[in-house]
Amino acid sequence: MNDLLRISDLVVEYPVGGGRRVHAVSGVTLTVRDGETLGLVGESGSGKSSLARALLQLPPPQGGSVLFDGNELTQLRGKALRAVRPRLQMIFQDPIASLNPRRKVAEIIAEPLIVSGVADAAERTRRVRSVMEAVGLDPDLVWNRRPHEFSGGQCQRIAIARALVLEPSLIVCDEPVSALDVSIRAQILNLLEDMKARFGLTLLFIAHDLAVVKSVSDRVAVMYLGKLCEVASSEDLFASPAHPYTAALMAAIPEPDPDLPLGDTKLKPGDPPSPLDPPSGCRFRTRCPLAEPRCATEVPPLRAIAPGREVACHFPLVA
Amino acid sequence: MTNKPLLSVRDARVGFTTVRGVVRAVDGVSFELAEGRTLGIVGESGSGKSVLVRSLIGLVSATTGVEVEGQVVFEGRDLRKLSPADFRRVLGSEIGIVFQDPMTSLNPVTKIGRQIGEGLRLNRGLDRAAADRRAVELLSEVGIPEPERRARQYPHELSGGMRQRVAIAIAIACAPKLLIADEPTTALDVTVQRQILDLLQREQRQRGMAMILITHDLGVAASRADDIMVMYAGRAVEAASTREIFRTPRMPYTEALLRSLPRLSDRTHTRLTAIPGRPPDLARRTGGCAFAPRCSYRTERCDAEQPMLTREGGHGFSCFHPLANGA
Repeated sequence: MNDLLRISDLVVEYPVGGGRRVHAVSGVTLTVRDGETLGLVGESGSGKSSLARALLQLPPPQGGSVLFDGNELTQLRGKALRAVRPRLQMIFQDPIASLNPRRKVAEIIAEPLIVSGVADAAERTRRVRSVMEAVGLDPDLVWNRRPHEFSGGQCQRIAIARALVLEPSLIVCDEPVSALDVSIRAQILNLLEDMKARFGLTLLFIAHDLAVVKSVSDRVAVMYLGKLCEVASSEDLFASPAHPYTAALMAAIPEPDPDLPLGDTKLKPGDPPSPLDPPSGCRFRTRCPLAEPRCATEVPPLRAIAPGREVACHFPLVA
Repeated sequence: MTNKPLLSVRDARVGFTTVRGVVRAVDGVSFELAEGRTLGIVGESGSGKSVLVRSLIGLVSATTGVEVEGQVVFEGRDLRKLSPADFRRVLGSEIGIVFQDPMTSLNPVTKIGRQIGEGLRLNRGLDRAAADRRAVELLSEVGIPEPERRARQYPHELSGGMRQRVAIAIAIACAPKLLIADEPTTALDVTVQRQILDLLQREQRQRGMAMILITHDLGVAASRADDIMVMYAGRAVEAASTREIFRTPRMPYTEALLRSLPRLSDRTHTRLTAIPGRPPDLARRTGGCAFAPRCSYRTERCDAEQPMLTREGGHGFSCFHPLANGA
């Protein structure tokens, strides 16, 4: 499989006044293969959303390279960037906030076509109808309605239609189901899987819910405080996590089964450190049960420990 | 279980008058809670779980446009018949509450030690110095390092997980018999969620408190509750021990919800069994079962008639076509 997206040494920092900076993403290297779903997992402050936005150049990152199908996105500006954008789309967490409340559904979905220069109105209408049907919206019922008339799940369908209408290669989904009710989540997850198969999409799927990530992802990357901890195939990662943080995340999740005992996260007590002032060495060491003096002085590089498995830890749980 | 429940709620109803009609947010819910037990109330947004408990403690009360009905008996006293002063005393000293978002439930301009001590001074008659000392002990008990220093800080100086620990310290300060936790960990990260739930459970066991745990997360309910009440569209649709809810649900909604969850034990790309449709509009309720339009067992009767919560053994369900017991 070819790499559709190759992110190298990506750095995202935000100034917060007083000369201080939030180190949101600190040197992340990650590839997304053509046709796969890559799950990106992390808690708040891990930098997963910053990474997603930076790769779409929203805004461009402070450092590193984003190579998308042969185009170095960080070097593109204006027209040249707009020419690539139709192939890169995004779905946001809050479906209601991500839709313009004053616009009709048909206008919202048609907007990307107008921006990318599809001038023929009949052609736009045809493509909007077709994509509405694909995501399970009845064009005749929803055409002239506005977002407030729809539930969160329906709004997320509209957002997915808007992302699909330009027939992109890659869709970045940033927590697409976390704002939705439990009974609606499965509908949207199934829809994303169907759309991926039908349109040959590649997905970067960002979420904090491990069960959701496992359900849709071929490979999974785990982030903590702006750095990658581990990248592996979904089956390998969940069968035997190699990074102590991945293991803690898995143990922390209560499964919907009263007969399964709660796992032991083995975490040291305390809260995650602030991305304003991340710990030296390995950023997870302040909570890690395996931390040794070396972890404070030496940043563990992301290294291959098995075919298709990378981990950034001096003492991985899987050798 | 003792014979007399600590809390007994009979036919609780809450209606909000809106421009679109009366929204029956809580539509005839009854339940009992024994001392020391944990009742998980699970449901999706709009199911009425939060409005229900808020009406019990007077946070939603009858005013213009709001109807609140039903009987709430706590330790033999009907809370809705108490004088405002007596009601405040019960709330302050015998019922503790932890809300979802500690940033909005804490007072941003008062030091956290003072906030913890406030209830002790009002309800337990401690003087300021004694209340301050007790506040530091409570901070230490809920796992906050350097409690003396933290007691002098303001909420914004603490992380989300720390703030929720402070909120728990306030809730348990007066040694309540009942703790109400309304989505206490929804705003928190999973590793922090785990610590907070462990803390709640430890405090509950040590103090023999009863707890109402409101959550939309079935994993949280499965791991922490003794009994579970499932709510849908303002009604209790199933109530049983946690094990029975997860092993032998009788209500089709509960079954469908459990089937729709992605699970870590499933292989990647396992097709999820989605529930079609969406929850009903509470301002436009019809006569039948609220879940009927989404239910695969629906018959004509379900559209015409509202099923009542019926009990078989200790297991309650509101359905004309309950799933077989032990299926």
